[in-house]
Amino acid sequence: MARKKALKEAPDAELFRELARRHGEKTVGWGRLETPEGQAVCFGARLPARRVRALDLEAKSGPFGWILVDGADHNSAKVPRFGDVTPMTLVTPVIVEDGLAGSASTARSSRRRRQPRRRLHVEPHRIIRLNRARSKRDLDRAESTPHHVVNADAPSLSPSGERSRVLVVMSTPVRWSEDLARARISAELAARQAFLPPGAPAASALLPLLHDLQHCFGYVHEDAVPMLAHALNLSKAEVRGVISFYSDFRTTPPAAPSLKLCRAEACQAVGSERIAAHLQSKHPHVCVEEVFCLGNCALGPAALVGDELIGRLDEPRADALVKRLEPAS
Amino acid sequence: MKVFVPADAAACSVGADDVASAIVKEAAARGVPVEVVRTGTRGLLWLEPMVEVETQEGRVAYGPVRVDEVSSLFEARFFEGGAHPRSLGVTTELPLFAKQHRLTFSRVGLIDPLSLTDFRTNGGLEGLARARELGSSAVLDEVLASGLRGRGGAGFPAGIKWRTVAQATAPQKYVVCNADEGDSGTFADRMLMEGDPFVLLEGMAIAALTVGASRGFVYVRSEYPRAVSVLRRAIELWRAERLLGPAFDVEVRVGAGAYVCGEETSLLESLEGKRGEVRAKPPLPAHAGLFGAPTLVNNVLTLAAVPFIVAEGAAAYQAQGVAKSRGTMPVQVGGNVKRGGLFEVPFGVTLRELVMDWGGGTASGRPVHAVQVGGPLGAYFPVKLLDTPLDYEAMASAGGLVGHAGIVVFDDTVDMARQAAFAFEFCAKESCGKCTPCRIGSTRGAETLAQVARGLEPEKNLALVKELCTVLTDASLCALGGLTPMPVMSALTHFPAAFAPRSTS
Repeated sequence: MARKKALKEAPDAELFRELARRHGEKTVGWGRLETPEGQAVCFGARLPARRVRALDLEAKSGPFGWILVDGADHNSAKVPRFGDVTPMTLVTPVIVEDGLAGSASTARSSRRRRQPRRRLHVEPHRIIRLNRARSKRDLDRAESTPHHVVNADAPSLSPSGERSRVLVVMSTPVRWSEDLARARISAELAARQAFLPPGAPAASALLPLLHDLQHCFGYVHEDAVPMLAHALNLSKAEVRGVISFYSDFRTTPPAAPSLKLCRAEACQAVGSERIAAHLQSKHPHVCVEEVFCLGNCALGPAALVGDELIGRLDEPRADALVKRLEPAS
Repeated sequence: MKVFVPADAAACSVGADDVASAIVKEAAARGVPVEVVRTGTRGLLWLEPMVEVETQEGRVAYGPVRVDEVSSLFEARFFEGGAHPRSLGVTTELPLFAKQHRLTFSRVGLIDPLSLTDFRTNGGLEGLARARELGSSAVLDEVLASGLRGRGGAGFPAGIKWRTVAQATAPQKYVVCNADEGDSGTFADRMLMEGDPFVLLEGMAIAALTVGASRGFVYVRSEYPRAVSVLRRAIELWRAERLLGPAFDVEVRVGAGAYVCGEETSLLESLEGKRGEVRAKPPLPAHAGLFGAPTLVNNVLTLAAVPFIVAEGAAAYQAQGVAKSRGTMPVQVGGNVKRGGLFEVPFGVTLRELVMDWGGGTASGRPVHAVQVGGPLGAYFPVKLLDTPLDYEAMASAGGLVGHAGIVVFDDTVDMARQAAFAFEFCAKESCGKCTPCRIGSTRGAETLAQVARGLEPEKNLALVKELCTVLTDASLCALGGLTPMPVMSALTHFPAAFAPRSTS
């Protein structure tokens, strides 16, 4: 019963349904997911609260970009193949259950019939974030980064020793969908309002909502403007005004590959303008966005790729970076 | 055996993640039971990736470690402190570490940033516990007596701000942490949020207790994704343990690439979901801030300094520093510098010491030509002014500012006329557009300096630039327009030769 309640309360269940549908998957629960690189298994139910705390922390800040990999699969040759879907994405609500071999429909019906299936515990260090992973090396890096690992202070997810084949994969940014956008807006708005004291205006959630939409779709679609205006009781002009004020928000899909290059004084002092010119002449197809300070002023010139900070850029390192960003051919 | 590898974004930008995973792999292959703990960075960034090992003498450091050296580290039994070409010795005895006075950054680089156990065993939560014992007015007295001044740049006495908010009567008050660290050359906020996020939460909890706020926001710039995620997880952990207090909760809000949102009123507008346009003051945010409620807006470093002050007493903090600049300042040395990093030192250290002794001069090996102190709105200092001590009043009388204490070093290849023009261009790009001097003046200034560079009526145009600077200083609504003249005028004053007409290329 508790489980049912949790499911009902999960605002993201809607999101998952939409995502699953858009990728040819009918079930709300869990099932297969087709990606250009092959098949993955995904889940769409919510973990009990205390587990969610551990698993979902990062997901709350940025709902996409998680992959759960079991030890065996991680070491197999399959995983880097999935890494080619960039950035990798996971639908926020995640449950890890055994019995993956069953089809989606049997899973659903069996859930109706009896108690929830036994959960597979996933070792903390196997929770891997794969925003930009393209190779085994990227996987290794992701794995050794603690911010992608459930902290020791969090409720522990002890290894059960069971065989599991768990992959939760989606490709982002996902295609624009009004339904999904609407679901995201209401979920994010509810989360922000839960924090605000009574009487504080809902419109204050506009920036988090815009970040969330951009994170999901890669940009803020024109059609999102009236939705946001309606949800926050603002005029469309006010929403547009905010979108245009902040340089982070884009209204068109991002060009790929792209990176942010620091053009502020500390990086200027060590040749960031030279790197900018180099990128422009040698790699004109790469979208180089200018940013002012990435907080890496002692190890410049600096760049940001996704969430990854790159330091001490010189021409060879810039070339290698571009190579890593290129779609694998 | 514990091996410590930083997970700070700066350390990872030069390969700390790769080194950590190489150590895990190598340990597994050799069957050595090594536990890799990811920490913040010690701030000795030229030594990153710096690996540390627990030994009987204390932590021993190796660095900078390349991935291909990991194998040889194991050969040398580094996990027992064995000698290796990369050995640096005991970390706390490293000359540039031992000389520091780490009050705010005492745990950064030492602990697992998200381990409450580590935090507690290293003095964490003592300040908050004492604050609860002392009560609001006694904590206010401590903060006032400590002489702590706002670390965001303006240097306003923190205690007075706190008192103003505490005295305001309102059903709802807020504590807002300004973590929109946009100034080039500064990274202390990021390093602290990634390396010891709990100390910031502790500072915010003390502030909330003292001024009577029930909600807090940390406004972090979007350029710091790692800091955002560490902080969010830190908040989750605190909530789970109910450490924030019964009536206080904190949320992280992420900026969206607007430099001006580091200005406190613009930041509040942004938190309210609006364009980050500066508000006219008064009313002060302390009276009518977020949603019109009394709001305490403090920089990360200000709030993070508070737990030490409350735990150890104002006198312990007051004892450091000079004149009206009390306590320590985490100075960040960057740009073209040999030993770049963060050094927490008492106020009063001279720029020369910081650039030459600590920083070791330029990375390029060429002579130091200029240093910019305090970010893009700070003055460019020539070598002859490097004996200026870092303290609020001394810097001001030398025509500069402390700002967020970022020092950017330039060698003699720098084109100071270009830097002056950049200051205007930056202001033009980042201006919120609310006031005319900043919005129009910055563009006009960039155009005029471009004419000077082309040799078009240089005297007349430079006179116009100076006039523009006066208008910007006197008539801008906030520090962005008001201080843009500082880098421009300092370049004009100290490096006049750079503005001489040149041949067009």
